[in-house]
Amino acid sequence: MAELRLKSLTTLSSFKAAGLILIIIMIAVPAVLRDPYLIHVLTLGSIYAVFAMSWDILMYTNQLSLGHSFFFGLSAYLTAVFNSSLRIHPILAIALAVAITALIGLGLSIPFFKLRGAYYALGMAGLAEIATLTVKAYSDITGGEEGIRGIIPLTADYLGNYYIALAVMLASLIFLYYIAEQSRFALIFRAIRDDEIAAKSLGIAVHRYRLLCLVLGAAFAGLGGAVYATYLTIVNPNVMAIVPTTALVVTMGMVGGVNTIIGPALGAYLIVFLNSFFRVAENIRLLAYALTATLILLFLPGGVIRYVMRGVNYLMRLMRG
Amino acid sequence: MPLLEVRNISKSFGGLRAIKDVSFKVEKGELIGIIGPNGAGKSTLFNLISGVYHPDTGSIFFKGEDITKMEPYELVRKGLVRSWQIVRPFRNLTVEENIQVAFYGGGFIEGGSEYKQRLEEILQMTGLLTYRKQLSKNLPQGYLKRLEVARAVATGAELLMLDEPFAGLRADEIKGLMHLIATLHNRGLTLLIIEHVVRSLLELTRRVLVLHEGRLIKEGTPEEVRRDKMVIEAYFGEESEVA
Repeated sequence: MAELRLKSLTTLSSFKAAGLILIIIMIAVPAVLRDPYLIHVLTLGSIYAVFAMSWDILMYTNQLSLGHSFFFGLSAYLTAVFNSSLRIHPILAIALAVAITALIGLGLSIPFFKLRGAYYALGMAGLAEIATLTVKAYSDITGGEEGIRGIIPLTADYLGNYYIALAVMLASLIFLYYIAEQSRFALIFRAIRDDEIAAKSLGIAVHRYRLLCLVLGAAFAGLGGAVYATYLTIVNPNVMAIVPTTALVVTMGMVGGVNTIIGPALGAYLIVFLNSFFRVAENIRLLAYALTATLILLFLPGGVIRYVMRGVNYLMRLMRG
Repeated sequence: MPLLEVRNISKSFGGLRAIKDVSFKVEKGELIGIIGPNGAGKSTLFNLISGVYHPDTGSIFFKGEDITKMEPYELVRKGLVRSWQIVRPFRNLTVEENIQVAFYGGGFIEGGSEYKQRLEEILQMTGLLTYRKQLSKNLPQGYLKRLEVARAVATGAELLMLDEPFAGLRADEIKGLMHLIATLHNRGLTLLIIEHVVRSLLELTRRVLVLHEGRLIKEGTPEEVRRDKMVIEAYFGEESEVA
């Protein structure tokens, strides 16, 4: 997979300027477009962007997960149970769900760090599948196939939800991007991706960095799942299932551009939009969506982010004369 | 107290006994060569000392501390570092970044004049100064070998173990690398080198260990090794001479 280094595609200043412009647009969108459906799509985009970034942080240390929906769904269910059944305040329910999900991520490192590559990916997929079946089986707690309804939202106002999701997405993006691309870990992540054995033989405690990424991945997937549950006020076993939820996040990551953090966030908005766009033709929706995603993967190698950044760079050069 | 002491180590893989009851000591400041025909167990011995494998029996001590069960990254922090027979650069990192990773691995934190001075010194010494901003995947083989050495030195190694450093190099590249190894040795670094290019190795070292079928069959000066009947037999048969 081609290594993408954002700073080499554009200067940091133009990168920051583009980011700022995008944030301003995102804040101003609801005021300009008073379309509740569009706002809903953007809100979902923000939530999935957090989820997609959390999947991408695992990829920074070669942990391709095909069961990442486990963390998203687990946190969504925990939030639902805390909030709907135990009547815990939504904010506290979210905080508890994220903390528990991160701790479970930490615990999973014990069996899963014995696995590498395809075995790790399939192991994670197995975990998500087992968890989905478990959720379906324990219907007295989880509501079975029907799921849990009546979760108390953070706010009933659709604009409020939009800004909450946007704020969570931006905070996650800044934090994860800093860790993955700007901190002293960035170089070590890249070294581990290139050659794990060589990194170990130079004194890098690879398992600690993998653990950091796994816990961050679990925590932020948990954050996405918890906000998702309070936004939609309903969860069902699909949120934990490989299909559609893991399949969705992997597509978002690949379409956006793996190992960039920003790319998968962009991919999330794009995929959520594609899904909504093809809603008008329900009978061909899945086919059209899959075809578009495949075309992007085939003809935009490295993900959409690579071409977006080139465009930003070009525009900035034009603006500077 | 020796810098490294290997005591009666053995290692089997299934039914194959790759290393059989090997013992030797390395004193601080020595440059020791390990030779042996293909399949003698040289790389396995390196893997055992550097923590990639753990011996089935026996012990390994470094600076008096039992390191038998330690992991490679722990040994690096203690000053025991190895290179690889087939070079393993971080291909998408520049030469300078490759060395920076080694700095982190060795516990040196980025920043400060001492850090920069050390980086410059290593780049200068290994002849990589002009290539510092190049991605390592674009380096020729000879410079990749130098990069392996540069990274190992950057970790702050006290004992550097080089696995076939001359393999796949041209004569002029071998000469340059020999010069670099001699420089490191003169600066007080202890070196343990496995090599197939026996002639080059015997020129560098004062003491040689010979492995054959997992056993240490000879230990001595290059001259003693060259004339040893068992060594000659192990390598080429009775009529030949080593190197």
